[in-house]
Amino acid sequence: MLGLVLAGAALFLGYNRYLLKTSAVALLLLMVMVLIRDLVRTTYLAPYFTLEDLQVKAEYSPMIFFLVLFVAGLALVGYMLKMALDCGKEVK
Amino acid sequence: MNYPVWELSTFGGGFLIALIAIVHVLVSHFAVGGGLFLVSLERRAYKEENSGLLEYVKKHTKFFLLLTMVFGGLTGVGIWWIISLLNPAATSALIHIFVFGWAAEWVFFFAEIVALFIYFYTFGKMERKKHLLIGWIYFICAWMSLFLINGIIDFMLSPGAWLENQNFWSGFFNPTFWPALTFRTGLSLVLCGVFGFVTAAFIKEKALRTNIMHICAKWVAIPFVLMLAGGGGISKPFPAVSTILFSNIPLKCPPI
Repeated sequence: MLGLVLAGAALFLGYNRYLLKTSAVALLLLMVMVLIRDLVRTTYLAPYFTLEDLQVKAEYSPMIFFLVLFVAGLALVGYMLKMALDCGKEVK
Repeated sequence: MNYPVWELSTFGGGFLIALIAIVHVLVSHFAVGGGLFLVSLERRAYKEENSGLLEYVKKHTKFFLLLTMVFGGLTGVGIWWIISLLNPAATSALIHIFVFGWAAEWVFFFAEIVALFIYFYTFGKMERKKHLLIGWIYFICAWMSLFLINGIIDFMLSPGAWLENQNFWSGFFNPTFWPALTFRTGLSLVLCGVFGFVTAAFIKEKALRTNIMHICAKWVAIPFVLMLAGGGGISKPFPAVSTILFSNIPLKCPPI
């Protein structure tokens, strides 16, 4: 239902040329479409397969490794951008 | 994947992978070693107050940026496209097993792209020390992305203890990890010398051209030792293969 309402809203806003509002609604609509697709797939495969059938082996260290690097990487990029924005026009 | 419409009767999937992978490997390894090449030459140019050499580094950076970021980026996407069409199950397994490995690699790749663009667009406009620092950051990030991809790629060749314990780190630090890292590091440095020859060939001033050609020759020759050491190590976990490749051939060849 939400998808239908959002689709109608996106069409209405699009025809009335509200670019930003249409984009925002389209983004929400896209998220609803992803969820619906997943729901359809899960229901369709329910007699043969459910996610609970998969054996899960928890392993957190690669995720921590990534998160640490992610934060450090963002800080590094921020530092480089600051240096780039601060630099003068011509330096010896 | 031949069903339903993916039919590759003439060349086969292996040919397509080889074609895209070889081209991409040349450029992507150049992207790693080239960072060290640029920053070392820039440092040398400042030290010697050599404006000709500095001008060469600037021009080579443009060539480097276009080749690695545009061509290297496109062929990188091309590899994913081809492997996911030819063997979706294997591609899916590689993503699922190493999802955070890939994510970490993309962090370095992103930092690498930002560093290279800043390095190129602030050439001559940024304080020398800071500009060299950006160059070093580029090289370190590029090498780290090689480090991470190396673990994932070599897992395909030698999964090692992962087969028993399915542990991320067992798969990542697999039996060919360190020798392959040594080999790839050597290859990346050799290739930056090779591509240096290409751009140096267009320098009009003879003395400068000869000087840069000499520098490039050292870059090709010295890191080759790393390639030999790494190459020898890669074949160790596969004694049967190395026997076939290196030991039997001379015995079977008739004396010349």
